[in-house]
Amino acid sequence: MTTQHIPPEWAFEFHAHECPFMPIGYRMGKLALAHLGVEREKDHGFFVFPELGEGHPQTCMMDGMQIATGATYGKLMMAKTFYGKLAATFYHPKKGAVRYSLLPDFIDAMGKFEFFVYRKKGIEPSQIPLDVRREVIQWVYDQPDEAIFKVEAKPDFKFTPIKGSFNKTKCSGCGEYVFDRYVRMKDGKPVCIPCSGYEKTALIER
Amino acid sequence: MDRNDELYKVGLALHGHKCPAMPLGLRAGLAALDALGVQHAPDGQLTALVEIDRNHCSTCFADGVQVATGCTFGKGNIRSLGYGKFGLTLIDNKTGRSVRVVATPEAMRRNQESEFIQFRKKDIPASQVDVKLVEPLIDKVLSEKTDVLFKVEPIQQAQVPPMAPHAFDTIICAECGEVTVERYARVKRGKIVCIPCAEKA
Repeated sequence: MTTQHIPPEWAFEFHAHECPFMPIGYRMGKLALAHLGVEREKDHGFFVFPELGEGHPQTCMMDGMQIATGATYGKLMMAKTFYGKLAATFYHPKKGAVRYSLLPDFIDAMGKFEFFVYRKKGIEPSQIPLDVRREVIQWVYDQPDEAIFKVEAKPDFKFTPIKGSFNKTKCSGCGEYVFDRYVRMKDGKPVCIPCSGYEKTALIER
Repeated sequence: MDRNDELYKVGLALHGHKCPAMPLGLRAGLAALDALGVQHAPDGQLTALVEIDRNHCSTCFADGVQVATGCTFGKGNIRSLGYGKFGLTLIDNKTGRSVRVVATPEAMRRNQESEFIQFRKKDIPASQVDVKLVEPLIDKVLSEKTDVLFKVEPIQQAQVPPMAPHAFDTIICAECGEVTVERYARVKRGKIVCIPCAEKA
């Protein structure tokens, strides 16, 4: 039976290409919300800890999780553990935590679709013929939840977020605002981290 | 641009509450796309470097950047530099052309001095603040001239390391039986395991 958890049109606009992983993450997020008995998060009260890493195609799942739960990157409600696993823990401070992971048999069955023949050649999802993409997406929609996900309650899971800061200072070097936690002092004047030269500039990691 | 714009509607649907920082990120993303003369990224064509870090106000800026540029957390082409600032560097990965767009002190001050932020400082969630206080801030951000909101720096050539090919190989952890991307596999007493299992005694 086809799942009821199909991403809305705006979700595909946001993610900007059709692939099977965004809808899988979306479904995982919707199921986790229902499991914990909470609504989509408007503000800053729900956390998602995906276990994915980077540079593997399944990371698109995390866009589905943002879309479904409202625990977005910009609100900093989502942090990766970099385990390279196809799983995530969903946490509400009052309702507790649940972990969803993708079953190996599901991954193996999905990997046989033509979509991955293209992806393994390095072809980006938006360049793959739409019928090839929609074939695997529809197959995912048609799988029952229990064929896709392992679900584990996490009664001992704890996470304490740091309280937010609103105080900021103008950098005496570049004149731009910096939040106080990140202000450094140089020659007696407050400066931002890049103007201070104290910490090496972040590299673009790929 | 106003609140009926499709891009703002997608931004609000994703973000979940009305605040001025998400729209500011939308405008920053659009300004950067415009400066580079590129379209938003269906896949990994662009990289966005945002300067926010964790646990400070206005990080919502990054959700606007995701929506406008197509550089999303899931696709892995948005990164935080952790400076606690409101800059966005957008890189065209094909050509290496990049531009930094940063919110002006004036643009930040307007929102900072608003009544809306006084509620936020009292830890009242954005969705609980009267929309009459926040909607004028949003309208101002959406309709304001780009050069009032941002300093758009000259186009530069970024050093973009060649993109590592996507990894498709996975292993099954010998302890928990879960799928793990091969690069993240560890060896524990001769067995191939995932990172959390490797760290257990």
